[in-house]
Amino acid sequence: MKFWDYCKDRAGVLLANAAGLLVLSVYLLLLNTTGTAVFLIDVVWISVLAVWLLVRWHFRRKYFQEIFDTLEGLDQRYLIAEVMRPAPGLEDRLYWEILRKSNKSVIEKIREMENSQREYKEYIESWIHEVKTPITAAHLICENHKDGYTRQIMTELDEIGNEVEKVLYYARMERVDRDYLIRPVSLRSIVLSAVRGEKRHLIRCGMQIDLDIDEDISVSTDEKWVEFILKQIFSNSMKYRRETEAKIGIRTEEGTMQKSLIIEDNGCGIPEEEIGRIFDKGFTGSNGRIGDSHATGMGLYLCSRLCRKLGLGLSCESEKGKYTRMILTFPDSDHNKISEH
Amino acid sequence: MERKAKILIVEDDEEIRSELEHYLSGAGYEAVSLSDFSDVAADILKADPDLILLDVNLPGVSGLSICEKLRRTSQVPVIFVTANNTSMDELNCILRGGDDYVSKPYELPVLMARIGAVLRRTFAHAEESSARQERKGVILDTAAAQIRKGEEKRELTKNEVKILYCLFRHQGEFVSRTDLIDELWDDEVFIDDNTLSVNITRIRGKLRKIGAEDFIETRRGLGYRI
Repeated sequence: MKFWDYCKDRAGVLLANAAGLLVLSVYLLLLNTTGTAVFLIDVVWISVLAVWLLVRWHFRRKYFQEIFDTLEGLDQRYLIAEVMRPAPGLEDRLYWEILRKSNKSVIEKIREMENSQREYKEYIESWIHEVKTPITAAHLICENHKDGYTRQIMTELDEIGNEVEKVLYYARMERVDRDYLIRPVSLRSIVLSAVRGEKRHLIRCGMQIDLDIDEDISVSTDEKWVEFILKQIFSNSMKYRRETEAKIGIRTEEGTMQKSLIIEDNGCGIPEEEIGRIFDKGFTGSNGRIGDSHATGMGLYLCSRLCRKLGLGLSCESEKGKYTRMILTFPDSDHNKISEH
Repeated sequence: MERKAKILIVEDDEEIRSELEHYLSGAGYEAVSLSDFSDVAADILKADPDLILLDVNLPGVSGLSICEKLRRTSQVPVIFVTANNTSMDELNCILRGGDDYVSKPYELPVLMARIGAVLRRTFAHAEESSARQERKGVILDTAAAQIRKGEEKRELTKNEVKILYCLFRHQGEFVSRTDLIDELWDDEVFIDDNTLSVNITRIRGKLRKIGAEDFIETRRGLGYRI
């Protein structure tokens, strides 16, 4: 708040004063008061007015500066009315009252939405736990009566399980911090359990797996989340595989301060102009519209969100018609170094 | 043959209970289950099992607290079965005294492997997975990667050993090609139908050379048997 701006704002008062001063001066001159006396009176009037303006300006500036500072420091800015104190002025108090009331309703609305969202997520989670029981039971029944049909049903059950898992991770994403456990784990064993989880599908697709990971490569991360991410990547490789000799190659690369897991398939690839968008929510791309791929555009979106939460890097390289290469990067943590020495 | 290991299933879903009982009995265990969950810890002690499959979410009571209670008096191995699958849940289960943890929906071979491993760990007497197995005079030596009959022997590749090992494990019964592939994938052999055929043909060739021509029996629609 500049002084000049403040004066412009007070233009009414200044004009009234100027008018008053003019009338008074003319009146005094008509009464034959000496010019010097009138000039003196004018000077005193103007000085008093100037001092008054300066002091007011100073305090107003300080007052607003404080409010802006508080606003800056606030985590949630809509809470400002709760922490700011009203100035003694009548208008200030009225504005403060209005602001407070409006903020209160915003806060209530937000609370309400947070609650309903939390309830919804909790319901989804408990529903998922419920639905896992019949899936498990169906699995067991199929295992106990193995024939061609139940084998097919089992593959379908795997798919249901996979979809259910996706929803679960989506619901959980906001609170990864509560549900994860970072510890050194063998990269190979994570990859193996992801392959195992998808094996029926992989076998049915005639997918070849070319696994080249040393036993002793370990990374510090949460294995469950990474396994989930890998399964999504495998599921994409299967969706967009080539008709014959489909293959997934899995290998590692060790760089400075990081380890990369590279999953490369020889599927239909991604057009160059779409690579930048494959991690966007709901993006299905030209591949997703071919045939019956059932692309929802959620899988990779979930993966990239999870990776960000876990501090992993996820990137993609591809050439249309040749290959798709997903690269998962694990940073070297201090934890790893300690356990290696 | 020593007595069968007794496995107690604590699970509130009736369907899972009966199917699991059926499956475990088929796999050579004595399977019993609880259907009343008012005082599980006491019932468990009464049943005196060798291993417990304990569901975490039981009506009115948590499997975790049951395990904690159980641990005050007993060291019987517990494998938790739960629909939760985060690492925190896993940690929780282990901290409460569980020996292992399987999340629903589980793969039965995985569950069986876990049961086997826990039993082996707890009871040293359990069958040791020996490096040498014999059937009809043919010896499979997994450590040396060899197949032998009498004085004759042939080297095997890694995949051939694993295929034969799988067949030896199911002695006397037919193993379908799909199941064989399924099991081999668990064993890190990512094989497809054609490669399996090639491998079986090669194994047959080696068996012929050591004089065990019809060792592997094939029946259309059923699979292989030794």
